[in-house]
Amino acid sequence: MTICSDCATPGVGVSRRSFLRFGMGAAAASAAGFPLPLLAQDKDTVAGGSGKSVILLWMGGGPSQLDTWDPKPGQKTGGPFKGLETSVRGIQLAEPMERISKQMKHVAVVRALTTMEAAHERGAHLLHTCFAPIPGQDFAAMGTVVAAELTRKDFPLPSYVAVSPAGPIPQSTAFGEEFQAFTVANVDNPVPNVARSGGVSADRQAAREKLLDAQNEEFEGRREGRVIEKTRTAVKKAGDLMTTPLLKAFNVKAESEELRKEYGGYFGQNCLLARRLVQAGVKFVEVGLGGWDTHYNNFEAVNKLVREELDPGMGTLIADLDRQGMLKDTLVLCMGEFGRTPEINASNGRDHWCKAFSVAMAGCGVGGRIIGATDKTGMEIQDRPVTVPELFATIYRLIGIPENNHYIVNARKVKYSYGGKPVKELL
Amino acid sequence: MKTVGVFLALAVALGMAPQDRNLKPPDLSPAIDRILEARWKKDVKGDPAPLADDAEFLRRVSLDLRGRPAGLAEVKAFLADPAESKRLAKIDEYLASAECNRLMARRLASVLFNDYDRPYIQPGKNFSYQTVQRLVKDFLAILEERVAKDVPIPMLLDELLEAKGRTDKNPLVLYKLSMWTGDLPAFEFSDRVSKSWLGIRVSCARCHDHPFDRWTQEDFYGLSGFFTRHKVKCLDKGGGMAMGTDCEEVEIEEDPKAPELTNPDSGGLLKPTFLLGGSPGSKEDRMPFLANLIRNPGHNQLARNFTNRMWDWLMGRGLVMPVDDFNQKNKASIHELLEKITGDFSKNKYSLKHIARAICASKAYQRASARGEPGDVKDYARATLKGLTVGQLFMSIAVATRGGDTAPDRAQAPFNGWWGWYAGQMGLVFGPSVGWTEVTLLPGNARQMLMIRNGEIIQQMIRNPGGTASLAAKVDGSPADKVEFVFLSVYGGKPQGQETARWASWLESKKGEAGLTDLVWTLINSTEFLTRH
Repeated sequence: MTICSDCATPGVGVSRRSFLRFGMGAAAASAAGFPLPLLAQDKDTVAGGSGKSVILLWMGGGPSQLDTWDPKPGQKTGGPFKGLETSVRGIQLAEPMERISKQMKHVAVVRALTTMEAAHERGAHLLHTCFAPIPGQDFAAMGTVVAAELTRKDFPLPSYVAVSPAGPIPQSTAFGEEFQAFTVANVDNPVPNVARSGGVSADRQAAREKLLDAQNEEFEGRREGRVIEKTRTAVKKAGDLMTTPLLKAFNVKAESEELRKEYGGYFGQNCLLARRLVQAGVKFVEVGLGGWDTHYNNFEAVNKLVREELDPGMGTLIADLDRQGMLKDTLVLCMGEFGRTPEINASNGRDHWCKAFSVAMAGCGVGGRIIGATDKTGMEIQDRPVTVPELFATIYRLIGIPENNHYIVNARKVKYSYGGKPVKELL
Repeated sequence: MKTVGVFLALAVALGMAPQDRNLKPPDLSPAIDRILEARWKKDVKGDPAPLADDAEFLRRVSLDLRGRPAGLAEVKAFLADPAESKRLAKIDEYLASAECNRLMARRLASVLFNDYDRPYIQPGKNFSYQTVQRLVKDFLAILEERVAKDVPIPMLLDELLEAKGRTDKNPLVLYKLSMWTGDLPAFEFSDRVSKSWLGIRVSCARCHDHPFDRWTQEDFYGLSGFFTRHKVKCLDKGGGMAMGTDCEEVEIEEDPKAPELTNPDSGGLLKPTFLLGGSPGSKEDRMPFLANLIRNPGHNQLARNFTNRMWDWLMGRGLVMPVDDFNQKNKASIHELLEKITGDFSKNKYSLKHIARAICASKAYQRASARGEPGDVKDYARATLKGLTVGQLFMSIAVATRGGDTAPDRAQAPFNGWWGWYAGQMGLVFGPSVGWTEVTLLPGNARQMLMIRNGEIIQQMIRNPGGTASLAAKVDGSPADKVEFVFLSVYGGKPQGQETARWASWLESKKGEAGLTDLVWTLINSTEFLTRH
C-alpha cells in the first residue's frame, strides 16, 4: 500500500519558509562553526544555522545487508563471508568491512528496517523522502528538508550537494529552488562553469554584474510574481559561487596526499569532498556509490565494492571526522533503496528484498549499537522492526529538526516524517 | 553583411504578405473580457494594465504557441506592420505551424503521463533507454498528427483508452504501458485517468475517504476495476516472447477471464464503477464503456478540465488551482468564466486550437505584464510572469545570440555537429531532451545560471562572428542604433526608458566589440530574458 500524504485544502497553513527567512539571521550570527584550518581567513563568512550536518552515503541498487552490516556466517543464506569482530565487543560485521569495523564504537546499525517497496525507483524515492511516489505529487528529499531547515541565510555555497549521485534524487520546490540537490559529477570538475570565461577579466566581470543589476532593476521593479524571486535567487547564487572564498572547499587536492590515499578510490575521494563541504558549512551532502544491484555474482561484486570503495571511504570518513572534532555534529548515514534476498539465486546473486534490511549511521553520539535483529537466516524479523517514518523521525531528531514539522507542496501539507516516532534506542 | 541582407529581404517579404482584412476574433474572446471587466468593476478598485505593446505581445505569443521567441527579421516586420488585425493573423499563423503541433503534443503528453518527464515503465522486465526513447518518439509522432488535425479531445480519449496490441503496430499503446510503474497498474490507472482527463484527485481516497470531498475508497477502487483485465507481454525484436532479455516491444491485451480486483480492506470483489456514475454490465467492453462515461456531457468534467488546463497554460494560472484538483472546497476562482469557455469548447468540437485562438485573441491575454498605477485589481488584470521552459530557453539563447531565427526545435533532438554540441552542453545542466522535458519549467538553479553566465558554448555564441554582437558592430549608425539592434535581437523589442542612453555610453567607453558582447551577455542573463512575460 502506498503511503498517502495528508491531503490539505489549498492555501491553508503557513509555509515553513516564511518562518525560516526571519529565524535564520540571528542563529547564523551566534552559531559557532567547525574548526576551519583550510578556510581560516573566512571565519566570519562560514558556519551554518545549526551545528549539525548530514552526510548520506547512498548505495544505489540496494546493497546486500548479509554481506555487510548483518552477516550470517555459517548459514546457507550467509554466503562465503566470515563474521568479523569489531571494536565493540559482541558486534560482528561481514568480513570485507575491515576499516569500518574498527570504527564500530561510532557506528549504529538498524538491522530490521522494513518497507513495502522492492522496485528501484520506488524504493529510492521512499528512502530519500519518507514517502512512496504518488504521481503528480512532489515530495522533498531529506537533503532538501535538512538544507532548508539548517542553512543560514546568504550562505554562498549550495546547501545540498549531491556528489556523483547513484540514481535520481526526487526534486521538490517545496522550500524553493536553492534547496534542491546541487549535483557534482566528480571531484575533478566539481562546479562546471564556475570560472569566468577565458576572455573576461575579473574587473570586466564585476562591471557586468553592475550592468546586470541596473538592467534588472526597472523590469523587476514594475512586476511581481514568484518567478522574479526565483530567478533573482538563482542568479545571485551563481554570482556568489563565482566569488566566494568558500569555493576552495570543493578542492580535495588541498588535502595531504597521505589522507587522500587513505580515503581510497573515487568513492573515497567523494567522501573526502563531503567532509570538506560540511566543514565549510554545507548542511547536507549526498555521496553516491552504485553497483549494488547484484542479481549475478553477488559475492564477487560486493567483495570488490566494499574493499575498494565503501570500506576505505566510509571507514576513513568516520575516522577523519572524529580526528577533526566534527563527528559529534555530523550524522553519517549509509543506506540504499532496499536490501537483498537472503536466499542466493541460481546465478549466485541476490535479488531485491525490502522485508528486513540494514541502515547504518555514525556520529551525533549514536555509536556502538545494534538496533533490532533478523533471525539466523536473515529471512524474518526477530526483534525491533523499524519503519521508514520511524527512521526519518530518528534522523531529524538527532540533528535537531522537529520531525513533525511540515512543508506544503502541490497544495498538500506533508509532515517531514509522516507521523513516525523516533527510535528511542538511538537517542 | 550577407546575413543582414537576407533578413531585410525576409522582412520585406513578410511585411508585404497580404493581410486578411476580414479576420475576426471568435465571439468567445470579447465574452471573456466582458466577464473579467464586470468582475473588476464589482469587486475591486484600480485599473487593469493596458494592452501590451506589439513587442511584448509577439514574444509572449511566440513562446506560448511555438516554444521559442521570434527572430529579428520577424520582429521588425511585425513592429512595422500597420494592419489592425496583425495580432490575430500572427496567432493563426502560429497555431497552424508544425512547431505548435509539436509543442501541444508534448504538453498533452505531460498531462497524460502526469508530469513524469518520460513514461516510467516497469512491467516486470527492463527496458533499455533506447527502447523507451523509441517508444516515446513514436507515440509523440502520432500525438502530433492528432494535434495537427485538431482531433476533438473525446476522440483522443477513445483512442488512448481503447489502444490494444503491439507497440510497433500501434504506438499509442504506450499510454497503457506506462501504467506499469511498479505499483499495481490498475491503481496507477485510477489515479492517472482521474487526474489527466477529469482534473480530479481520486487517489486521495485510496487510503482513506477524501477528507473534504465526496470521493470514497470505493470510487478509487471502482475506477481501478476497469483496468484489472489488462495484461502486458514483453516481446523481443521479432515480436516473439522476450526470454531473459530486455523488452523491445510490448503487447497489451485484455483477458476477459481475469479475476476482478479485491478490495484490500474488506476483501470483497470490486465491481468497476465510475466515480461520476455508471457501471458496465458483465458482457460490456469496459474501455469504450468507460470512455463514454468520462466524456458524458451531462457532467462535462472532461471539457471543464481541458478548458482549465488551456487557461492555465496561456494565462499562467488555472481558474482552478492546482489544475488536477477540482473538488467541492476548491472551486473555480471565476466560475462564470470557466463555464463560459467550457460551453464554447463543447460547442466547437472540443477543439484545443479553437480555445487557444479565442484566449490569445482576448484583451485579457494581451495585457501588459508591468504594473500600471498602484491599485488592487487582480484576477488576470495584467499578464502573469512565468519561468521559461527548458525548450524555450534553449531556443531563446540560440535566437538571441545568432542574430536570427535559424535554430532547430529542441523537441527534434538529437542533432549532429554544432547543434549537437550545444544541445549536449545544455543537456548536462538542464536535462537531456527526453520525452517532453522541454515543456517543463526550469528548476532555475545556480548550476544552470552558471552555464548561461560562463558556459564556453554560450560565450562562443556571444562572440561568434556572424552573431548578434558582431552584426551589431557592423550596423551603420550611432551607438544608439547598435543598442537598438541588440535589444531587438535579444529581447524582441526596442530599448525603453534609460536603456538606450545607458548602453550607448557604455559602448562609447569600450573599444571594438567588447561593449557589445557585454550588452548581449547582460541581456541574456537578465530577468526580462529569463521569464515569459
